[in-house]
This record gives sequence, C-alpha cells and structure tokens, in this order.
Amino acid sequence: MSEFQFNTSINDRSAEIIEKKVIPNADKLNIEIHRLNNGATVLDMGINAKGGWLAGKYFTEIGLGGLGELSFTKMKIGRYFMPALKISVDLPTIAEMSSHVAFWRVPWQGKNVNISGPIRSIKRPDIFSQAVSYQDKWAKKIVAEIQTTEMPDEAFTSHLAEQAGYSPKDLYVIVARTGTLVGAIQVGARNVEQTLPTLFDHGLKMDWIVQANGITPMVSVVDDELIAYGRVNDSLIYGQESNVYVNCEDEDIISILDRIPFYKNKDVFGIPFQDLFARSDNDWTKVSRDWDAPCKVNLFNIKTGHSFSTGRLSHEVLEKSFLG
Amino acid sequence: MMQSISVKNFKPVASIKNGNIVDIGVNAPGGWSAGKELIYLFMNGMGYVNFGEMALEGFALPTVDTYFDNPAEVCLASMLNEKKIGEHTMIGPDTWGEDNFCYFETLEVKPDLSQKTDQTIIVASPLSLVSAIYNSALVVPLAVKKLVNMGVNLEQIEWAWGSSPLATLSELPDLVAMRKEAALCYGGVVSIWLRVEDKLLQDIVNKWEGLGEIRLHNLPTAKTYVGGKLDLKKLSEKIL
Repeated sequence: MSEFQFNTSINDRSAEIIEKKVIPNADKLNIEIHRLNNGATVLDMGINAKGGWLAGKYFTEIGLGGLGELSFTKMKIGRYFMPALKISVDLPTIAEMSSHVAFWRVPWQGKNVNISGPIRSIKRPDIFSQAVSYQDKWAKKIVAEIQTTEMPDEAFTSHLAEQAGYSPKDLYVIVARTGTLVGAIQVGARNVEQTLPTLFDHGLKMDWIVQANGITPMVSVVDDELIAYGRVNDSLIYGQESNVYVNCEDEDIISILDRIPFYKNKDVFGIPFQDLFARSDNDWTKVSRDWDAPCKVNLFNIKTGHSFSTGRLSHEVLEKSFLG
Repeated sequence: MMQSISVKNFKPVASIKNGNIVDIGVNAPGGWSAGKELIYLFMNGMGYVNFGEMALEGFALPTVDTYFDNPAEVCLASMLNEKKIGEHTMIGPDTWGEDNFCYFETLEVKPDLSQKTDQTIIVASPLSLVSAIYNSALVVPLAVKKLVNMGVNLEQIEWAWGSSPLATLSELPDLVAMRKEAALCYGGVVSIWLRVEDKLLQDIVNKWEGLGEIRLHNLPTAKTYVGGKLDLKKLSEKIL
C-alpha cells in the first residue's frame, strides 16, 4: 500500500463533481452560485440558500476530494430511528488528511478561517496534510470548503487563492452554516475525518492505514448556530463509529486504544457538547484537543487478523439532542 | 429510466399511438432497482431513496427510506398527484422535466392505455415489488398531506425523511392491501423539519394517529414534537 502512487488531482476530481453534478442542478439542490468579480465561484449550500439532503451529500463528497461516498441510512438511537450518514472512503489518508480535515487556519481580519477540502493538498499548510506524502501537483482548479455564517467576498477569495498559488478564477469555495441540513450532514459526516487525526495524534502512522468507513446518526437540525454546533458535535463524540483497517503490529494498536475515544474524558463524558463549548468560551481554539475525539473506533489489523474496539455511544445524550 | 430498461427488468410495451407504456411489474418482473428508479422519477432530482432494514420478530425486514429536499413539490404535486387518463386515475406530476409520466397500478397491460395521452405510462401490478416499494415510499407524502390538513402550510416545510417497512409480498390481493396499510400505519416513521408555532405542533402530535410515528422538528425553536407510535406487535401480526 505504501508503495502505491496516486498521481491524480483531488482538486480536479472535486471540481468535476461541482461542474457536472452540482452547478447544472443548482435549482433542484436549493443552492446558489455566485461568480465574484475576481473570477472566483462561491457555492452557497446553506447560508442564504436552503440546501438539502443531496447538497449535503455533494458538500461531503467534494470535501473528500472525490475519493469517497456519502450514503444515507438509518440508526436506532434509544427509542428512535434516525437518519444516519454513512461514509465510505477510498484512499482514506489522502481523502481525509490531505483534503477533508478542517484544519487549515487562514488568518483573516483578526480571525482564523478554518478551511477544509482538497485545496489543503496544494501547499500542505497544516500538520495533518503534512502527515501524508500526497501533494496535488496536477490541479487545474482548486476547491475549498468553509463552515461559516458569512459569504466569502472577493478580498477573501483572492487572498485564499493567493495562499494556494492560484488565480481566484480557478477557485471554488463551498459554504454552509452549521444550522442547516447541509451543515448537519457535512459535519456529521466527519466521522473518519475525526478519527484519523486522533490516531495520528497518538502516534499511529498514516502509512499503516489501509481502508476506512464510518457512520454517524443525524440527531438534529436547528436554525440556532450555537445549538446546532453543540448537537452536530454530540453526534460525533457520542454517536459516530469508524472502522479503520490497518497493517501494523497489534501492540501499536493496543498501546493507544484507551487514548482514542471521547469516552477517555470520563470527567465530562455525558455532558452535551454545547455545555463543553460554553466552558471553552464558545471558541473552538480553546476546546481541549482531547474533546475533539471520536465516539467509537474499531481497528481491524490485516496483518494479524485481530480486531479491536474502543469507545461507546451515549444514547442518552443523543436522544436528548434529538428531542431538544 | 428509459435508458435502463434492459438491465432493470423493465418491459417496454409497444405503443399503438402517442405515448409509451413501460411495464415494471405486471408481465415484467420489475424489482428493487425498478422500484427505486420509479421513486427517483417522482422526486425529479429533489431527494434520495435507499433500502434499509427493520428488526422484527427475528426477521430483518426491508424498509424503504426516503429523503426529501423539497417536500412541498414532490409529495403532493408528484407522488400523490392524481391525473385522469381516459377512464383511469393515474399518479404523477402534472408537468416537469423531460420525463412526463404517470404511474398506474393494474393487473393487466392494455396497449390502448397509451392512446389517451402522449405521456409515458409506467405500469405495475398492485401485487408487485415495485408497488410495495411505492407504497412504503408514500409514508412521507401521506404525512405531509396529513399535516396540511391539520393546519400546516406547505411553505413551512423545509425537508423530510421517512422509513417504512415493505409490505410482505403475496399473490392474494386482499392480504397485500391489508399489509400495505399495516406497514405504514404500524411501521412508518417520519421526520419533518419545519417552521411552525410550537403550539400547533403540540396539537398535531397530540392528535396524530393512523400513520406510525411522526417527529416534527421546529427549526426556529430547536424543539422536537413526537406523535403516534410504532406498534411492532401489530405490525408483526399483520405483515408476517
């Protein structure tokens, strides 16, 4: 696996989804296309636009650099069946670490704008994109995604394109608020996206990862950004389950198993994320890195045939999030 | 759909005049893909459909799970919209896109059906798998219709999700009809995201009956109202 060379542009794969599946169907998807004067294209999937299930699916698949699929399914949480988000990722370290992970913090007007998407694979500007050897050297277009309440303007998109070394006319930016259906889907779909950086943090080599998939219940969609933010994160820390297929020694897994899931935070386990976020002054940069941890991770070692599982779901918190 | 005929057990029936007839469950067997394709045709790019499971008395029963982006357009104006073609009442959108069609459940295909219209008529037996899939996919449209009757405006509804077990197939018409109703009534579950006064939603869930479990998610107030219930005991009695 480590000798496999993937010499294809994930930015262009994402741009192909945008150009063939999204833009031609903008009306049916309830999204808005804005072509800015600097040539950049902004796709509003959930700021002023309503969005929907399919827009959320495309938001996610674009964010994966075209290397994965989001399908909808359902889970039973407590007494209730809920829609759920199933992610199947090809080349998981490239799809997630080089693209999907929302960790490129671009300083802008006194704040950091968190960028995800394949644009991160151009300059590899953060620790997670640097954790894999893939670099997109072939991109004709560049694609960024932002979870935000503000529409990006010409100044910002020009700045972003410049950071990547491209013209803004080659740039697509996809945006949605958290408090929309697209927001709930695209954040909830960050199950494997949450798991791989956690494994990396604890020393699991990305070269060892072979395949991955994940599922997350979609517990809530609400207008209020703070409530929405809390509930979508509840779905991840109390509801997501990732399967990761690795090729390493069992000891490499066993030694980190207890440190992976959110359940390790026994002092706060069971507290809704909205409350944890409030304890962090509602500022993501102040949230403990240990709190951004997957709910449950299953590791399957293809070298030994042994399987490992860590973490647990909290149906109580999820049911509370669901009912409001 | 028309491009998929050869691989999805559809059977085109030669048209005598005007429109075409496509058989997906009368003489042709039809199947899962045909049923899914039919629902996608009704949705016209504004939704998603998938098959799932429901555990019931040790059986992993298939369910039809549907996701609606524009329930107002798809539910009443397409999946429940009745059109008179000759002496028959058929189902389908009045007009949209290139696929102007209607869906008709019948036990036999009469080629002269198409003489009365230039639309494509998609036919399936009420005893077919396609018909059972269509029936289960109606759980959301029927809930939306019920909500409208209870005072909700269509414009207040943003998105919807539903799941209903598939009525177990049989060659006995009365049994099939009873099972279809039971699947929706005792096994259907629907979530609707909308913008309505909390009080109205509370009133609705208090009165909800006859269509499984409804969950009304009020986007502005972040509250969920649950009405009706799944009755797995009655469901197993009726459909197993």
